[in-house]
Amino acid sequence: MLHTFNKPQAYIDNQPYVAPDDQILFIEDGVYALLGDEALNDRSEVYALEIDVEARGLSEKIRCKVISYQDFVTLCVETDQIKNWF
Amino acid sequence: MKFAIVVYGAPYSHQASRSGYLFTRAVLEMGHEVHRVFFYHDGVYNANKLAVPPQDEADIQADWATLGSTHNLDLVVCIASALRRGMLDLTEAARYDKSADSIADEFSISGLGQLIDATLEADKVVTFGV
Amino acid sequence: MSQILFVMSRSPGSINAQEGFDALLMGSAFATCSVVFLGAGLFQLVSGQDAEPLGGKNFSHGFGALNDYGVSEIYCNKRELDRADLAIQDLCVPVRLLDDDEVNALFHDHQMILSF
Repeated sequence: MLHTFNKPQAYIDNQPYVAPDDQILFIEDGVYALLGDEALNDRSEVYALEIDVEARGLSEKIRCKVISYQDFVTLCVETDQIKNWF
Repeated sequence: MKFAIVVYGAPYSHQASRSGYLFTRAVLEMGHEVHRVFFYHDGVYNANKLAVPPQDEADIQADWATLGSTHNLDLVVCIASALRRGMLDLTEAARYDKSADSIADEFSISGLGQLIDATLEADKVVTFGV
Repeated sequence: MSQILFVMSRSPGSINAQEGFDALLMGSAFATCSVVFLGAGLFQLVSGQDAEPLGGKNFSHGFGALNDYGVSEIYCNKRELDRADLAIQDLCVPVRLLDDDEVNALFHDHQMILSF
């Protein structure tokens, strides 16, 4: 399943509900959750919206896969469940 | 695939509206169907035709209205959320004897049943909250 | 398994919590629904609330009727309950306590998730 997080606190509070093989997408201010979290950046199936990363000047700071809105749609199409955290 | 998109954020107050708009546009670009966009909580303010944003700023309400009319989208504003926030169409403005109506033509006002219907009819539901 | 899982994450003072409850009631008229209270949403379940002096609506007084609406599956998370120093007896409706993995399993079991 796919979890989206739109702010770091949403991730901090609800990360216990994400299974190891679930997908994570950070959107909006959620991309800040990736700063300084090496394990999160290196975890497979972690994504950040490129437009949000670039808007916040974080392109050089984030190592996870950055994706477009069209890729976001594809993630939704290909997953079984979607949980949007905010 | 059929998508239902739910938007809880007011324009400018939070990025939720812009994110929901960009996602809806991407769904259409990818050739999928948008079953409905449902505006709830403060998201009802996206239908506000009385807003006058500065000329050098993005006009999110206009973007939604244009997307809605271009693609014949079902942009629905929840009536209960709308009324308590002063978002009224002509009918509701007359019903409650208010001096103005505030909902743009590209949006329709309807009940929460439309959210549940969209949830049950769509293949995917994506919510942009605050 | 129910058709729609409602996830409530807002404190009871939030209009989003109240409107989320309205959505749950509407949902129960059309489909089988379950509800899980997570994060600040847990506090919607605390007994003895009175928000009226604040101009609020005690919508949580309606939780007792959820069973009548066909919403019999009401969940919250044990870790969060313990962290808030709350017990089952402090809550206004019977709930099923889930651990973290069981909450994730609840998501995996539902095709449709609505979050408030």
